[in-house]
Amino acid sequence: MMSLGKLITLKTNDNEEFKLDKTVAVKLEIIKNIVQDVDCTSNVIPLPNIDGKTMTKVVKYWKKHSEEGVTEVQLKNFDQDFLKMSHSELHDVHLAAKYLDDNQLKEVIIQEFLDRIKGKPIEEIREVFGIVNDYTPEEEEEVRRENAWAFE
Amino acid sequence: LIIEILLRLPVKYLLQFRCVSKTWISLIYSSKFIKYHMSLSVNNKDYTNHRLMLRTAHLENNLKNCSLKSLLYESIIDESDIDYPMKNSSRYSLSRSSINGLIWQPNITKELFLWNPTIRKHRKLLDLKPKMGNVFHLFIWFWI
Repeated sequence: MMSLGKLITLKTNDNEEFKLDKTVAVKLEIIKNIVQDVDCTSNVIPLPNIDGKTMTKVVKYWKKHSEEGVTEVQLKNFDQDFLKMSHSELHDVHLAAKYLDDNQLKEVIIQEFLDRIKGKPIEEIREVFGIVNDYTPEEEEEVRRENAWAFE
Repeated sequence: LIIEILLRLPVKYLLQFRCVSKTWISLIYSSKFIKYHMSLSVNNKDYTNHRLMLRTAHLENNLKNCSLKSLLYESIIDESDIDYPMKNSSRYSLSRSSINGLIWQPNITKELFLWNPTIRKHRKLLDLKPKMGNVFHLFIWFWI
């Protein structure tokens, strides 16, 4: 069992360090497991799958959501602002949330992706997920025609 | 991530998104995906993907289709008419229950259709001889 001070340091793969209050950090399954399993004397937890830029966003989210006395409305406004990022940044935050086993953050990101794709033209959907269209125009037309009503 | 997102979408969007790429269409059509999507939809506590079908009057051939969620929780009910196989035939009937959203529809004269209203597709299962109709009817009721 590692000794815990009040702060835990999370170190990303590009060597950026984030100091977090232990009560915030141990809420997360993965941090809790590392804290319990790893026998080390330092309070530094390496995060080999996450870069500093992404972790900055995640930590910002955690801090706001564990703030004392924060209201629902404030959180809603915060989330709205927080989610204003590019598709690929959103993707990175989702991967980080998945790695950190943070289901709440994961769910928020999935919901944002759903909002970004519902009712959008197919070209935009491809853009959101970085997908290359491998249909020939004829094939695509054929698939579209098969359920034309769904596009109305 | 993509699978998690697609699993939460209503079928209408999935039908549109088949156009995104060949990978997406094979994912959306895979039996594993369909089963998982089905069980998530059925167990959704907000009834997001549940639809209710209403026949306005016995003798009218009109079928209404409305979202259960909008009927229960929203001020505006999302409803529309729905086409079905053999709509113009004067002699038709519909089963009163469904299995995983599939409805079977015997045309009393000679055919039996299996109909999936969500994707608006039907398949003729077999031709029935008039005499066989009632026997088959009974058999299917037990099955349901």
